[in-house]
Amino acid sequence: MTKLIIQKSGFGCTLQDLGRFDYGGIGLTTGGVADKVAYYWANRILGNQTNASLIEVTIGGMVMVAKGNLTLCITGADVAVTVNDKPVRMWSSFHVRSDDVIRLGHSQTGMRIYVGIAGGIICDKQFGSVSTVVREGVGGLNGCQLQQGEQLTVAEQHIELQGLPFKKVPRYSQSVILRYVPSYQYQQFSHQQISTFEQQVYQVTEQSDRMGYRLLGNAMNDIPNDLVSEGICLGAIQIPPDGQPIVLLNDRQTLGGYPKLGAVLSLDIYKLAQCRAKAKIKFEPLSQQEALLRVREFWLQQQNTMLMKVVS
Amino acid sequence: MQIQLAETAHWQIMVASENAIILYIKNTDSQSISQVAGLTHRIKLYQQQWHLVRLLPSYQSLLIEFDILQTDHHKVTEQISQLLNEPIDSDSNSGKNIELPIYYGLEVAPDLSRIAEHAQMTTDDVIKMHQQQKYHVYAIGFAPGFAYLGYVDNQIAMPRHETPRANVAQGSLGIADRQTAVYPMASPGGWNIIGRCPTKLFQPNHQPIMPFAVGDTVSFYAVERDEFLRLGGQL
Repeated sequence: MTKLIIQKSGFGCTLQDLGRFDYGGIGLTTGGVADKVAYYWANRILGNQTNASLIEVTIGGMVMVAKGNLTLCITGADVAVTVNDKPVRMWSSFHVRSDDVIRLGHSQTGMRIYVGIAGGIICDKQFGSVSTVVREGVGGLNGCQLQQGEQLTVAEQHIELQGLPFKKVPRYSQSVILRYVPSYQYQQFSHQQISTFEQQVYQVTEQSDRMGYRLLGNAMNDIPNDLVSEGICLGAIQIPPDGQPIVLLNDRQTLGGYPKLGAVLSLDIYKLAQCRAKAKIKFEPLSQQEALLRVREFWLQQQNTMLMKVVS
Repeated sequence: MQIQLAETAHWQIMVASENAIILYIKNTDSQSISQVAGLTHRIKLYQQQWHLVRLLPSYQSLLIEFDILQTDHHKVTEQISQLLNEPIDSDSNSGKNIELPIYYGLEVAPDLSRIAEHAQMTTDDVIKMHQQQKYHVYAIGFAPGFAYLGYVDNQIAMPRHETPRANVAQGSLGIADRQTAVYPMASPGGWNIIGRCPTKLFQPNHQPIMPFAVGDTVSFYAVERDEFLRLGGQL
């Protein structure tokens, strides 16, 4: 059986796919990859199915050992990747043989790195998805982060190597503009509150994770606080009474009772998910029609981007 | 910015995000929950056909997320609006009652005195008042196994914390306005915590995975520290 052994899990890594969508009614969150663009490229470069499971690594510092012949591709935040101490390129596939040691360095600029394997990782789905949500204890191998010594069953696949042209590789910045669709309770906020929100630069706080990013700036005052709990979508901007926004990500609660003034465009949520504490954030409104066009246009561009053959 | 997408006699449809709309019941009453449940069931029949990826019902609202590459806000709004013109069967589960043990010791109840002070009552009276009634399960959400229960007596109602706590312990029993609930797992949260429940409320590998469903009722009874620990509670 072909395996990938986790020798060091670094700052934490989980199995993820696109997420879990059918169990919101009993309170299960979606989970799923936080940076869907990096995930898309890992699977596309490997010729995988669009919902293949892979490893999402936080910051890096991970070491893996192959048992069998595999083809891998690493995307996401920039890290040094080596196979038996020889550097390999990110955003390109590469072959490894049995006993090869794959090391990820530490990212200096981004937050999340994706380790894709041709053929995907073989793992039972729970509630329809492999995605690990540690808070719920659902998904992955047993609802937890991957531990040192754990063995992942993978497909033995030796496929032709290819890569994303350098010019097309996403760049992660620690200064991001989040476009957002005004929605939910937007109309209950005053012009004064909205202008406080849109005109300042917020900072990402340490209390930010796959559930949500808490931001810090000049507080908005007099936040309405009598809302009956309701469904929360990806990117929702929640304003608790302290007036500091929380942008909700993949592991968000399904229902919540703090008012929301809109939802961040998915494409910008993927950028936010690559931000660390102290990153600078600014908000810019756009209509839902524009948002829809931007998202459709973006994915069409990605699909039309040609990969390059890589000589091994 | 145009946020409202449509309005009927009983419903309002609003934008939620680039790929989501939210339906609100306009005149809310005790039937709202079963109205939302009835509508959710009906929409489920068309879920694939209309490219709807996720439905999140709550007390008075239904969030609908759709596949942005296949459909849009206006198309989904139009399809849903047609359903709203027909009478909706209320979907109500007559329900069973679940009794949950609670340890109300101050070591696990950081907000008990705050509520007592606010209500001008002793902490014992707050606890008694909280135990006095059977609560209805109005929604399950926030986290798996988190049942929104209502309604606590007005005297012990208390708004959420201004800043949600980064970590609320597993089993914590909270109050937010007139709602009450037990956190099935440790998580961030803004509710006022008045005790802790040792019973596991979400067990993904067991059947049933949670003890209650919308339409059931829940009542609470006090246990001492020793009993709480014996039942598997963690301090």
